[in-house]
Amino acid sequence: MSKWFHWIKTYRAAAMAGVGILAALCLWGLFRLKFAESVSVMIPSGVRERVELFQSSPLNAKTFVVVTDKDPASALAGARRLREYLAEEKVIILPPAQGARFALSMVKAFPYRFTERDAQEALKFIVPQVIAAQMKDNFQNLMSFQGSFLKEMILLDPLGLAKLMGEKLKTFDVTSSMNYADGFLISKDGTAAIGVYEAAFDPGNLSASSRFKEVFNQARTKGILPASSRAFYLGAARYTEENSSIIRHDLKLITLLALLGLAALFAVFFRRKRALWIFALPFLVLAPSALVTYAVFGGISGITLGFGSVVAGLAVDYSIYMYFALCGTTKPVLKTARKLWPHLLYSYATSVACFAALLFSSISLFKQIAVFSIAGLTFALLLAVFVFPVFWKHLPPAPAFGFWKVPKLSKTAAAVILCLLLWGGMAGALKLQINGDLTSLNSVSKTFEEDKRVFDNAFFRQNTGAGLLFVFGDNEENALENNEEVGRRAGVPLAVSQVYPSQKTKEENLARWRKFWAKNGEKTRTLVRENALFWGLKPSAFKPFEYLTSLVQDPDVFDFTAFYNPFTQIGGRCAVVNMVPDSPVFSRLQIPGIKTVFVSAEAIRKDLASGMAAEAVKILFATLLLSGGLIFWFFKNKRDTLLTFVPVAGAFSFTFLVFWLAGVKVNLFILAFLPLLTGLGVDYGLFELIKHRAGKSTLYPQTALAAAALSTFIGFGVLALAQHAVLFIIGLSACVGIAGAALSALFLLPPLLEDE
Amino acid sequence: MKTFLMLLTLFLLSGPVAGQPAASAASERQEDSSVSAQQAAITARFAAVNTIESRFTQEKHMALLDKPVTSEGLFYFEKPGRIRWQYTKPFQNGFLIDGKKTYRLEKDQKEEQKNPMAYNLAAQLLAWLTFDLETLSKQYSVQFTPQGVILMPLKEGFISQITVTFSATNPQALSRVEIAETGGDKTVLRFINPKTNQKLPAEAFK
Repeated sequence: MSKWFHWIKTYRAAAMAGVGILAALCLWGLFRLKFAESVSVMIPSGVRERVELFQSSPLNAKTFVVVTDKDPASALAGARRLREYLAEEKVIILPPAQGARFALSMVKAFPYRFTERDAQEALKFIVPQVIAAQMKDNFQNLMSFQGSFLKEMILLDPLGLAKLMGEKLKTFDVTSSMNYADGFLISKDGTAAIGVYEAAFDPGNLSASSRFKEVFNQARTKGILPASSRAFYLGAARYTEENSSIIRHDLKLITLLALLGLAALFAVFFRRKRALWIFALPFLVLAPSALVTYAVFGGISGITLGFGSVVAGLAVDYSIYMYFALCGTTKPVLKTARKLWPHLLYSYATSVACFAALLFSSISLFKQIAVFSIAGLTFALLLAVFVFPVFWKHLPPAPAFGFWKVPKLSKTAAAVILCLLLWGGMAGALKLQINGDLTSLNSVSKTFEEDKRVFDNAFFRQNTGAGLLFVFGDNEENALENNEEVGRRAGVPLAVSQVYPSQKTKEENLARWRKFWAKNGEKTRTLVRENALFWGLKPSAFKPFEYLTSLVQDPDVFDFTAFYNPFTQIGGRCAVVNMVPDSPVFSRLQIPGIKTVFVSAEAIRKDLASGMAAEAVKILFATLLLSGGLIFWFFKNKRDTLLTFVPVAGAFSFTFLVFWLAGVKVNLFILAFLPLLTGLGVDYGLFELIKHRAGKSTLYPQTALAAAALSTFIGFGVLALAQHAVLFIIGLSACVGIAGAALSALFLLPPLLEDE
Repeated sequence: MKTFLMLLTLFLLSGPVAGQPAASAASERQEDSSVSAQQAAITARFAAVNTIESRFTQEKHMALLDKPVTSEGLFYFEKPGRIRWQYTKPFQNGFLIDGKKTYRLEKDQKEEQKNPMAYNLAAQLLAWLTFDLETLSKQYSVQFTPQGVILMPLKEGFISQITVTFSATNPQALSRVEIAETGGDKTVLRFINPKTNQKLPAEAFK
């Protein structure tokens, strides 16, 4: 250490330049990093498969464009005009027009989907009286205004068998209570028309999502919609845009407030240019830490980098302790640094141990955060001990603050307060509300929440009990076969199997169709001809029907995938996605030899909540065990080890108590905060313990602890003012947790440390 | 079955709407300023129509019919969205929109069509009968003739041409609409004594 100090003292300018160049290089590298974001890295492994499947479900990638109006006709007209406009602007891809070809192909596809039940139902259509009534109806329809449009359909299917095929398609309707008009889903009262589109861009791409928003807003100003109508869109593009815009807003606000807060802190506690090194520390530490993390994982999440403010808040403490230890001392810097080294090392080791606990988590993101934090703390310690002190020679005494002379509590009073705090914390922890909703990790505006409410009312109100059943297979055909088997075993025919039968089933259905018409065809065709003559229609016009019911049929070219594509590829396997009710029939379905996964919002919520609770216990246990073990190893004293955790207990108790009383719902990012809070608490506890052991040493002024706590508090406590849910919960936890930890360390721990 | 056929109708009707994202013909039409002026004048003329009452006959010329079939009926319209289209001969059927709900008419019965898709039909019919050029020009190219206009679909479909003749006695009304189909069939609507902007009978939309 002395050689290093001597070298750095001799080549001060070179050392400063070296630090600057290294920092600049790291920053350059940081800006070249590509951030990899996926919600699956943020959740426990036990829930991951379901979430990934949910993400790949047919509806998940769609953009929902909603037009509402008190007048149903205006809502539909507005939705239609908006669809045209968005397609013209090339921001959505329209499904192929559902023209005559689609309708006719639907009827021609029926023989390939002609089930036993259909055969039973079809018997009702070939009764002479029914045919007579149907032919009258056909004639009326032909003679009506819309007759021209229906003509081909009537000539192909004068019996109206398409109704049976239509029922198969109707079961696909994700919202069976909704109507379907001109490609739109219509709410029950008709006041909301919802278009479901493929976005013509990557909805996760910010600039593309912003362009969509711009085009969408222009539709309003260009008068595309009736004045009485309201329009909005939902989906990944909206989430991307909202998240980004809220983060941008948060960053501006937080940076400004943090700078103001830190400036105030500087003015109160430091007041010297040389102390600015402390405030430069985050910039010097975060970029290399990010590069290390990137090198370890081959990628880094923006959230990990966002966690940097938290790490910086903790890392800056080493430099603060060093700074205040050097203030006013006449002893050589090297000697003071050496004296402080054990404390900083203990503090560093326990913090590293706390973050290392995240490595035991099954959440990939937490492992990233662990590596990132450990790297950051390491760089911070090295700078605080080996670089900064060289620039802090002959520091005048730190400002003294009379108001810091807080009343000293008696040992009994401290113990009683601590017990009360622990009791309150325990009660709070038991009542803690966990928000297992994944969407809570996204941050959205109030307008978005209102839009979502309208959408849910119109679209999902009657479908809260819906779920997705994924049936796996080696390929599409195998997955379809397995899907049919699952339907048979569950005793409920699955809608997908009705419209997408396997090849084998198609052949069986076609054979059934031919057998049916071999038996009933001649009689039925004769009845159709007779009725046609009665209404003045040429019997020969019904040739398409005669061909359909003969032994020769056109190939099956029916394509429904533009409306509902049930296939998805997961992990090299193919799965068929079924929309089913959230009932035990499907949620507990287990069929030997066939892999099925049931996914519903409710199931994910429950899994996530229980997964988070398990993770919390695991992380907390590992944190306490690792840091406690280290402290005991350092001090070889059970009582002191336990007392070091008083600020930790105070921090957790205060946090849980406040969250309970304020009704704060925590999301899974509270898990990342547990080791941080432990680290901070242990850090403060260690400070007080070492100060107590050092007796009247000036190395450990209370001002140092107060300044460290306040810098951390300001550094990321301002995040509590953020709108983003993740940043908010980190900020709020920081505010409350640091307050609990610092107050416990400053007021409760000293009297408890007093010898009997 | 009737509902299902309506659904199919909508599938068929939706074709031209959904399948023509960029109607370049629209911009071409606007190049001719005289045509634009004529179109604007007609649009303004028909936009001033608040009510229509008319009897009509409908001739269906279809290859599958032994002979053309003629129907008769009544037509009422009131802004902004009330319409009654009712056949009286040979069948007594049709549909009614009372401003809020859509009904299917069958003799003296009316059955509510809860599915708002029925608006699709109404919108199409309304566009033709009230001669809503703004809506029509999105689906058809418009050629002006001394007696009226010829509408040519922008996209291939069932309809090959619609010939609209304005009433000689009432400039705000139509006297004849001929819908020619690609297969050679055609429908001819003739409006008898159309009255515009007059008070309609109370039972018109009941």
